[in-house]
Amino acid sequence: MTYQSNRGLRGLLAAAALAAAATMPLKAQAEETYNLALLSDFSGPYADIMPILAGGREAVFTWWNETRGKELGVTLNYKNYETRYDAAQVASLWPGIKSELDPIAVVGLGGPDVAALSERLPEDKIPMFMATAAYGFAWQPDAWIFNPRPTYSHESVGFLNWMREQRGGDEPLKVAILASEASPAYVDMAKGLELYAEEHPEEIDLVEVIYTEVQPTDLTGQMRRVVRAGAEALVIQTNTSIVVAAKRGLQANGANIPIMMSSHNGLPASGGALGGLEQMEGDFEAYGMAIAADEDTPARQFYETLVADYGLEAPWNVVTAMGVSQGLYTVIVIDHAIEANGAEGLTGEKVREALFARTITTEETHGFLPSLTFTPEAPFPLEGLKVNVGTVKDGKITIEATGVDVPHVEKW
Amino acid sequence: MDPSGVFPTSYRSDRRIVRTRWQALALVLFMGLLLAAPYLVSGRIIAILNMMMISAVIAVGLQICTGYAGQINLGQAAFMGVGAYTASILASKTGLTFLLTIPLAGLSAALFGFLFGLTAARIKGFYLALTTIAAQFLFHFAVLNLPSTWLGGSNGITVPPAELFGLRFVSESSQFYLNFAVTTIMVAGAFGIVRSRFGRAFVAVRDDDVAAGIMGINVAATKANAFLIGAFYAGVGGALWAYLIRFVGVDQFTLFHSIFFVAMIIVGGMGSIVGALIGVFIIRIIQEIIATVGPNIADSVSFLGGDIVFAGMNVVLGGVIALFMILEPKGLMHRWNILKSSYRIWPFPH
Amino acid sequence: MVYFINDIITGALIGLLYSLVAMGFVVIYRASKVFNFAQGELVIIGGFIVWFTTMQAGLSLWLSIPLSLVLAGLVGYAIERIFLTKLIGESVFSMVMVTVGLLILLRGLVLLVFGPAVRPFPIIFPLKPLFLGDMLIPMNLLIGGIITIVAAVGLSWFFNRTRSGLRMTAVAEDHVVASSMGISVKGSIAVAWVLGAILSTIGAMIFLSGKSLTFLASDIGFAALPVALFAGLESIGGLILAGVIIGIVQSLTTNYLDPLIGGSLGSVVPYIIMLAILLIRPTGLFGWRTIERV
Repeated sequence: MTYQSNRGLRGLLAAAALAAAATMPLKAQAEETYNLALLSDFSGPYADIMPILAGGREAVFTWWNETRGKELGVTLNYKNYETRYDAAQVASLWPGIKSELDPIAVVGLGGPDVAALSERLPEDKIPMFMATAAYGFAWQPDAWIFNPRPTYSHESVGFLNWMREQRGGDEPLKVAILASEASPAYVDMAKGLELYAEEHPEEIDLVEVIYTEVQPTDLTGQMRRVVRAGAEALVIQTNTSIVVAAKRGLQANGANIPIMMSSHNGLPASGGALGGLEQMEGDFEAYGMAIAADEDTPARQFYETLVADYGLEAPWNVVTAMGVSQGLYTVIVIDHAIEANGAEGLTGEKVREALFARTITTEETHGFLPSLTFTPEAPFPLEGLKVNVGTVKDGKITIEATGVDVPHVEKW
Repeated sequence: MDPSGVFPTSYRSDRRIVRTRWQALALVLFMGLLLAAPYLVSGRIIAILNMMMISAVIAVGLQICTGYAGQINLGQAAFMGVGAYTASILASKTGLTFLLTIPLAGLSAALFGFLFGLTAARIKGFYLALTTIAAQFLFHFAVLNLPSTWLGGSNGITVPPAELFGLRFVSESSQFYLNFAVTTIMVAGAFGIVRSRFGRAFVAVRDDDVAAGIMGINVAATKANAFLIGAFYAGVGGALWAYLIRFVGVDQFTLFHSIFFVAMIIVGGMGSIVGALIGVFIIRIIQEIIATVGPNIADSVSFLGGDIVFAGMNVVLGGVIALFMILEPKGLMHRWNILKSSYRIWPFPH
Repeated sequence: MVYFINDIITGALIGLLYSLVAMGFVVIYRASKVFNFAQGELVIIGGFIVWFTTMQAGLSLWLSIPLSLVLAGLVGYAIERIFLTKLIGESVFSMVMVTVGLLILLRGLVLLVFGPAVRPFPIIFPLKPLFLGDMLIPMNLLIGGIITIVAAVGLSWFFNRTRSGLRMTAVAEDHVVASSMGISVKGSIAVAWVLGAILSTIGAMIFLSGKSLTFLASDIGFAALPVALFAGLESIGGLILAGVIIGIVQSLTTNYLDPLIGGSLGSVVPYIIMLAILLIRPTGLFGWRTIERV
């Protein structure tokens, strides 16, 4: 479609909208409505966590509509789209999403959404907000897809430096990483850490990089190598099955090297798969998002509010936290955009501008996320990055450290 | 079987694909409707058609290799991947036009397929079919482990849009015409291949390779050719995929994708080009229905009950395929042909 | 040096686990000439049955293991009755295609019945490894290896020496000829699927003991595939040798070559060995070299 005809069509639509608005009651005129497209996977590999994640983000939209939205005179509508976690499905859904909803933002889920839409969103001028950590391969300037957390490698580097400081001494921390070639994302996680260790030999000594299957047969031999190399930490950001197999391998070797996990395969998931959280005693999970522990944090309080007043039914765990934090930074960016541009005529482009224009403070996200300052250089904030560390003490998940600084990581 | 009153009077007319005026009219109407589709239906439908046409090219290739030549091929997604990567690299690094990258993608996939087909000279039967699974694993390994400047490694490759005379194939409808043109050429070519000397050799080898050999057909070469042609189609489909998604990554071409291509030709019917098209249509439609009605069901069932419903959707898909193979092992096309001929010879039973 | 030997031993034992899963392929092929693509799914179903009887129903291992094997056998029988019996007389090709559909269907069914969550698998074999000087040998793999060898010897004897085993071999040779000689093709195929499901369940126990269970576990089917082809699809005894060779090469590759190249050659090396051997011996090491007649 050429530019000319596009304009003509828009004019026509605007006229139609005006005509429609003229016939509507006055109240509707005062209130602006915008749409959000929610990409979900209720039938694919993430079907088990999807209802919880979706519950978290939807509760936030309800909360925002009833509080801030009312003040601003804006309502956010949302609709879930089933992607089956398949890039082909996302690609075939996208034109429909555009014409049906004309969304001002997309709330995405994972890799297939990024693959299918990374070249589309800049053309259509609609930003997408993800929930997970970022990847090296998406680390490009002028992004339209954003992550509230830095890459998995940023998170592991932040954690490892914290651990080295806890240990004290001048020697680098001896680290092993367990990755898998089953998915390019898993390879990416290892590559970033490898590069950092290479450039900072005084901080991290990467003693072993082990590739295994997503459901390993036996890791006793590999874990013996890790033990013999004197590793002080084992980084596993892949999946739960590998954590379990590594744990069994370490137990067979009579060793207890602390394992660092990420959010999607963290302490509750891995502990559950091992048959008891007490077996994860002394292991860690670290990511740039609130840890769902029993402590009474602002995040916990906000969660309780959502449960009490806004119909959230999900339990307090890491998946809910992911959904809530994703919902929160999405609505706050939109909030900023409304404050900057007024409630009328909001577009995806303006939402994206608002993301770069103003920092999303940790107070605004109720402590779910650290303060986020996005720049056009990367799809995630490059400065002021923090990770939180959770661990298991006496069979319970507790917060070990909050706001651990992430050092500068070079792009790989 | 032809309707009564239509008799081929020469070899030429006996070989015809379009045999009656009504068939010609139906074909013209069908193609015309498709051509006009971007003006008739919404972008969502066009996007579904785009995905169907790309799958159709790949499934038709698999049909020639598996349905006609009888060589089970579980590496079709890897062959598609080779094509997608070839097109992506050529387009992003050399800026070659899609008019060249699409055929070149087909050729490089064909070469990769031919390598596996060559083993047909020594390996036979299921052993040969199963070596194609190796293609899947080797492709995955090669992409991730070769230097990332070659094939992008874990980063994947971003593909510039197809361009012709300053027109960028970005919108759904412009991509639709690109896919439509390529798919039409490929499907027409497939009809040509299967009724040519090659196609008859394929069928002979499928039905009995020893007998085919005695009749003077070079069995090993025929099998290798089947893989070559099948992979060529997959490569072209892969190139179209690359231009549609404009980002290729190794996890878009897994063994599970290969299995679904096999499922498509099973549902449609083995040994029929139209069958492959119907199979693509049915499987993609079921997937789209799952994706479309899914969220509505999620809203109507209680919280946390939704996952049961959705898992059920996957069972539906698996069940449809399994049912087809039990009740209709020859596929939908077979049933259609029976219907058609019984209509034509009515009121006689045979 | 001690570690090198340890890696060889562990590799051989992992290889024997592959042999056991591959035995599922071979038994079904041997008795029905159908190559079952859904073998990995049978492993997960076996795994879920074991998980259900122990973790859910709370039975003791002594009760749940035999019960699981019986249930797995029933599932195998049911699959054969529902999906394959009707296809006797159709081409072998369409029966093989049914197993492709079965793969998708079983995956969906597992998801529907058990859900997609990662579940803890019961500890069937002691977690404590066997210590041989400086060497560590995982107990589950060691006991599993012994079971595999016993099963291979037993099944070889069954197929080569007993009347019913030889009948099944005849079915694999040719369905039509077998049934014209009064051999029940139906019965033979049913026995094959029951055996295949039971072997897969034993494989699941060894593979997953003390680990976690999701449908990712079905990948073992494709890991075991090269072992089946390497040995030849008809040979049960050959599986032991093929499994040990592939296991050792894979173990040495993952432990000594992968750290050098920084990749995962170990996971594809079985396929490379398989391709190489098939080019030299087109029907594997011990597969039947049939003389075809028209």
